[in-house]
Amino acid sequence: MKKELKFNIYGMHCASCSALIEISLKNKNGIENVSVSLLTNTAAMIIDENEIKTTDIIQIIENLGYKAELAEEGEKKKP
Amino acid sequence: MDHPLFVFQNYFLWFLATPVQFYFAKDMYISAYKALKNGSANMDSLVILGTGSAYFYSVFLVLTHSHHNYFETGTVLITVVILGRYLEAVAKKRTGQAIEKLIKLSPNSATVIRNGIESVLGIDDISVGDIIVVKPGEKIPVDGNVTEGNSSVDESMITGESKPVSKRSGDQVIGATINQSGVFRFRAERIGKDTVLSRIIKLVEDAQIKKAPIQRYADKISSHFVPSVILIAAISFIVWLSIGAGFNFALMTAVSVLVVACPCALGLATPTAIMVGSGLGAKYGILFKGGDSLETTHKLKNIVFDKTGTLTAGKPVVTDVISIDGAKNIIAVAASLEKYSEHSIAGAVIEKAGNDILFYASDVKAISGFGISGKIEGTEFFLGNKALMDKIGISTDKAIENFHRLESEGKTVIFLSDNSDLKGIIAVADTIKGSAVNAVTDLKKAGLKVIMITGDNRMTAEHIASQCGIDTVYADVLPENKAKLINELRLTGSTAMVGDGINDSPALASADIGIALGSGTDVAIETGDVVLMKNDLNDIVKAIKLSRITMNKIRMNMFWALFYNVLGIPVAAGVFYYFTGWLLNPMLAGTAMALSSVSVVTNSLLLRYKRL
Repeated sequence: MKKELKFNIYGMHCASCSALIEISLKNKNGIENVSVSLLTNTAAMIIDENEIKTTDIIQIIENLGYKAELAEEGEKKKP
Repeated sequence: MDHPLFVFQNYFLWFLATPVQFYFAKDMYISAYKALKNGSANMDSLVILGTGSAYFYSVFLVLTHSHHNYFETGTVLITVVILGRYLEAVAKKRTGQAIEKLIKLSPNSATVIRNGIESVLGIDDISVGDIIVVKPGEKIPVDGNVTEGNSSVDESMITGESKPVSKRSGDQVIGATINQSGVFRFRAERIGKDTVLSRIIKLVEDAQIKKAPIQRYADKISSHFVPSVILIAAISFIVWLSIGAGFNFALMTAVSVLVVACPCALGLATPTAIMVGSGLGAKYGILFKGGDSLETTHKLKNIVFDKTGTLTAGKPVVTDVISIDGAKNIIAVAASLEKYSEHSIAGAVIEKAGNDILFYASDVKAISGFGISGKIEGTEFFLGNKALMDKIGISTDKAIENFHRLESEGKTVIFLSDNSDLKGIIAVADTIKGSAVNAVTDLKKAGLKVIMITGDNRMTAEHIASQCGIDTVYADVLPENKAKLINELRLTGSTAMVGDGINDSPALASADIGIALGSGTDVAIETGDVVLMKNDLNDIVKAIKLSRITMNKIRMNMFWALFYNVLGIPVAAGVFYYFTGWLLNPMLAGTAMALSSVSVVTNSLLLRYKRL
């Protein structure tokens, strides 16, 4: 099941922070369409729940040196 | 042997610099360390590396009883960086003010009637189906339909429409708009996150997430930026040392390089401009769904309009009334008969009659496929198409020229007669919106190819198109072929489709930019990349202008950010030192770095003052 997720991220200062998070998430299986916004301090992505859990994503972000929490979730709409 | 005071002074400086270096900058260490653990580096890595080298070298100098040290370099740098981040945060926050303003629009309470009792409830306690009383000057709390009472409502905060909109029973009201002088009651239909206001807020917020393609360049540069800077700093250090410039000099150039480099400015160039740009749009009732649509809109080559409901008002009105042989009261008689009909033309005739006194009609009969008949003050009247006149044997010769002319203009013509003679003819047509001519002229002037597409017949289509000033018309297009046609047009350049989102959503979706027009309706908000809250076609021109000025702002930001780094890094490395004596003191370099990102954000904020 695919899900659209948004996380609030704390501690990003600059574009290299957001780029680092974006690249790290992009390379993980089960995560698509990652977009990390420096300005709104959010990361939005579509995840495959069979492959990756929300807690895993928070863990990945926290390992990079930032704090993260789930902002909202919603079923991915059929295009 | 050193003078004891010097020794003391150096130890004192060490004592003062240490808390700044480690306590106040501790977040930077944590962040730099975690990045390092992941085999990467960030802005903090640069600052820590730069100030850390200055600090530890100074410690070495103190311990070896040297006169000189560089404690001030590290402390000033850390102070400047933290100050810069503070200023940047303040400015960044201001870029989101448009969204905050929208959030603040939402009222807190409402007067609700439950079981006949009026009580004031918090906005979150309102349920769908509640009857809400709105008094003069009050904010309408949620979306719904008026059940009783009349008033006019200022909807400018949602739709950008400056004139108050009149509301009566059955009309839709939007939450956060302000009631003017009347009192009315309405039934709550949409609450919480479903209201138009909440959806606008979500849309503007989400727009920040969908990145503009131009930002990918910046992101790409940023991801290689920090390692490259560390490399340049190392090279500069080694080169200066090897040509015998001395350790102090070599170290200070390296520190300058580390702290002058600023990927921040580059990273902020796009998102801050997009944020301010989309906020400015929201103020005008022009909503962009993402940075990508905000970028693409200014590149448009073709703009395709749907006809009915987009270029035209979408409902027929009486355009011509011609009486034959001086017959009077054509419209009043016609309206008196049409009162009993539900045909769409009947509505136009009745509206045309307005406040005219109507007659009492008896024996009204609908003649299916032809028209209607009825008796007024003893005379039998017939109202209908030409076939009706032919059927009852009334000559239409006296009106035939006008009939052909009106038909060629794409109008529907109806005839009014009594038992013996033709009394008059009435032409009905869908008329173009007031804003259509202006918008089309402006779009053409801006170099866009303007095209009309419709399922309607060619005659009507051509007539409407020529009124609007559109040369290219695709008529008789089936709904399913509209999308196909859009895809063909896209081969010639970026194509926008403008529609009301009701029956043309596939075409809106296939276009590079779907522009949905509609006064805050659900469908309009769902469909399309750009949503125009007002029904004003001039907003398309404004949307393109907004896209253009936002992109100009981004390019300007990017240019300065790149130019700054491209110039700042070599100067800091001392490349020009031999020729010009130019060198950047690390403290000055750090200040320049902090200011460069603040200036980018400030430059984006200037967009707020643009008029569309």
